[in-house]
Amino acid sequence: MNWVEQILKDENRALRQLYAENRSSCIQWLTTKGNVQLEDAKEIFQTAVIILYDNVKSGKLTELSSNIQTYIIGICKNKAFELYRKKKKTSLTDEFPTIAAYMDEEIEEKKELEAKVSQMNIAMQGLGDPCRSILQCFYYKKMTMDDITQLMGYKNVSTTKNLKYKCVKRLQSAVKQHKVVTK
Amino acid sequence: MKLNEHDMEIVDAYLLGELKGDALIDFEQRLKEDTAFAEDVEEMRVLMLAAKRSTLEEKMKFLQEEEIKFEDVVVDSKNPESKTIDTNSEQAKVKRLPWKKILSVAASVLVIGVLGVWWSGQNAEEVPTLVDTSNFPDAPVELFMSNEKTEYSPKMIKASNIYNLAIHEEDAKTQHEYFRKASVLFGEVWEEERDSVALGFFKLIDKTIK
Repeated sequence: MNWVEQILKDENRALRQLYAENRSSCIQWLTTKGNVQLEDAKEIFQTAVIILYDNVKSGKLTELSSNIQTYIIGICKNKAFELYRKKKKTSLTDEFPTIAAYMDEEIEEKKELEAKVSQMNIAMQGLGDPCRSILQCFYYKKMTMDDITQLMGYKNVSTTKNLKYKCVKRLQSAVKQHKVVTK
Repeated sequence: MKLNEHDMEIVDAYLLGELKGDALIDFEQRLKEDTAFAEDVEEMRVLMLAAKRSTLEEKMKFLQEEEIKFEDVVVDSKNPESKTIDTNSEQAKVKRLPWKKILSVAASVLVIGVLGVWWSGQNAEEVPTLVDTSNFPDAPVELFMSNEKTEYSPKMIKASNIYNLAIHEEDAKTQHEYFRKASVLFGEVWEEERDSVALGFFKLIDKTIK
């Protein structure tokens, strides 16, 4: 089974199958070898599948050198370690206060971007379809205007282009309105 | 935001890495000189990241709905006589249905747990008012959940499922086991999320079992 190809072809079907086939072994690995609680293990596994999906969609992963399970468990391992570190975080901060402060500075910068992305994400959810789908297809899935036209069943590419432009404008004005309200 | 349709096409091409050669050099020059334009480009970059996040959140929600199919309630592995709920049975489906609804209505902004570590900051801790469940011990947990709160953690959902199984269970021993399991989970939810509904049920079960 070429999973990369499957995800690109029919993503929900591929994800469903991938989830079912790898779920028990990955969760078992996490709870036994990874020393992770069951509920955390499920979330880590789900996150690992999402990361795999994102890597395929963003073009970072074009070919699997190992089998799919090895790949997913590899991500799970990293995530389990992150979780472990997060839980231990307080003691680290106490030990190296200067490093902690330095890292906070960096996080502060990211926080600003994070806030903007979060706000626009909320606005995007409120936008509804077809705008949300069009923007997701174009800006995340990197689909061409031709592909989107076909997918949405529009008359021609210029209809899609025009609609996409209007969607961006609508989204941006929704974000601005939200800002005014929260101020 | 003053980008016209033509400019937006160029910005899109830049952000998608499709701008090459002279066109790229010109674009970067314009970015340096025109701060208003640079701001517009930055806004489009944020939009691109938001498109990514909203897609991944939708996929995460999709997987969590898949997970419900697998969630077996195993009462006690050491006791072969105890019950295991087959998630494919009609009975199980009926009881699970409201949760599917809740999940799909819910959570346009579903940032939970590990995935949240990537993105979100911490929620400020709030002290909620305790929901009084004690007068209605037989009511399903859903009734006490807030309509305004649209996202529930997998653990809260599991605790509620098990509690709902318990109140319908006729066999006293199995029922006790369900209550005990639900109470542990509700206790954990209260500790982790400060959800007053969870605390209400934790206390209620505590009283019931005693």
